[in-house]
Amino acid sequence: MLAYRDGEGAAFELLYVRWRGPLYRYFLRQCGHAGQADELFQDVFMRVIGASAGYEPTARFTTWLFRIAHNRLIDHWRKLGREPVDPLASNENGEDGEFDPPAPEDAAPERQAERRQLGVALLAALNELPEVQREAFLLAEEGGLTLEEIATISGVGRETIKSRLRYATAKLRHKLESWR
Amino acid sequence: MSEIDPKLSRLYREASSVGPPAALDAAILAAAGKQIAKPRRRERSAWLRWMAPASAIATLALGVSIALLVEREQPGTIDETAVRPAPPQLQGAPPARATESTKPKAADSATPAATGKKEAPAAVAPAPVPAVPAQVPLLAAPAPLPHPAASMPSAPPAAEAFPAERRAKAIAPGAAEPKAAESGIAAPKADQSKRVRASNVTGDSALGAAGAAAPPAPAAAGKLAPLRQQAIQRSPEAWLDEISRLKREGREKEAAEQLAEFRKAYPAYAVPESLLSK
Repeated sequence: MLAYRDGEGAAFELLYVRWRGPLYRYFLRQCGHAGQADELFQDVFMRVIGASAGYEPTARFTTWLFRIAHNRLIDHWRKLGREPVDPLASNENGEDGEFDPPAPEDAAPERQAERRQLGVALLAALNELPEVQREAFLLAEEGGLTLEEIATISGVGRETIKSRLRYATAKLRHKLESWR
Repeated sequence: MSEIDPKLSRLYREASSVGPPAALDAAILAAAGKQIAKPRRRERSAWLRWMAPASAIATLALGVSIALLVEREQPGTIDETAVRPAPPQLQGAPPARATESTKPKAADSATPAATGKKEAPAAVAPAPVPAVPAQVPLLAAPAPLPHPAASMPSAPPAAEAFPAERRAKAIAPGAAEPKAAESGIAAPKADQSKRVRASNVTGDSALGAAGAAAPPAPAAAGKLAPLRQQAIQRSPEAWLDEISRLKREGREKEAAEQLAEFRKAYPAYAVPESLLSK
């Protein structure tokens, strides 16, 4: 990013090739709609390009990139009148709340029957995750971010992110049990 | 990350390989390319923004320095215009050298002569009498050729001749420099301090000498001034060389007259035996 800021166009291409897929999938899994994902993806990279002149490496580029993406996604949801709901209400000590029950069984089997692939089932299960858990999962999988980085991006504590990830994994496993 | 099952993570990566459409890639990369071009334009505009004030400052500095130079040169230029009418009064002075010392533009490339010209008017300028500008070319013009002894009045006293010689060097360094070099005196430079000194010399002794030559008789001033100038301009060695040349040419009478004048001017100077003998 510093090289791109200093006028090296090839540096941006490297960044873009590296992060185009993860960022696009982050939006696609969060929105569930390719058109919205396209719009958000393009908007984030335009913001990256616009901010390149004043870019200072205060954090990893990945953290910076996904923080922009997270903020953009929050704006998108607000625009749609939605608020990302955390089903795990953290208590005062920051400990995890009660385990969220699995998504309704009626929708999952239909999708599972349609796709017949474990991967597709996983993606479907991911889509059924609560937004904050899905986001934590996607930031970890697509961005390769650490718990601390995800916590920084999401604006919550590290333990909260840890809980979200644990519950997300458990739910996905649970969803995939019927396909094994 | 330990919170995510590795098998689940591998399965997700295998299943999720979708990317943005190619059109989106092209649009973003094009925008990135445009963004790179912007800072370059900004650099050029910054240079252009500074170029105008910088050139204005440079022009101003150049103009001020030229104005200062012109201001310094101005007194010399004014006095040189006053000097111009004088050359016709030169009797026997070589035209080329007279022109060289009196024309202001002729010696632009010759720095010592040019500086000499500057100093000459500075030395003469304070003179209040109108006769002084007419004498300036006489003072400035070297007179290497001999004059008839009959027309030569009495030579100036030796005490007066020495400061007059210094003044002559200040006034016409082009002519006086070689002699100054011979006598171990450094060639005059056109700096302000010397100019001041020259004007001081002019103010007390040099102008006094000129004034001493002028008052006796206005009609005789025309004859008296060249002779006095001859004594002023010449160094003793040059004068003796001239007398020696007259003797070699067989012009004994003129040589004797010149020698008499020389002895009046430089009574303490040791005249070579070859000149004394007939």
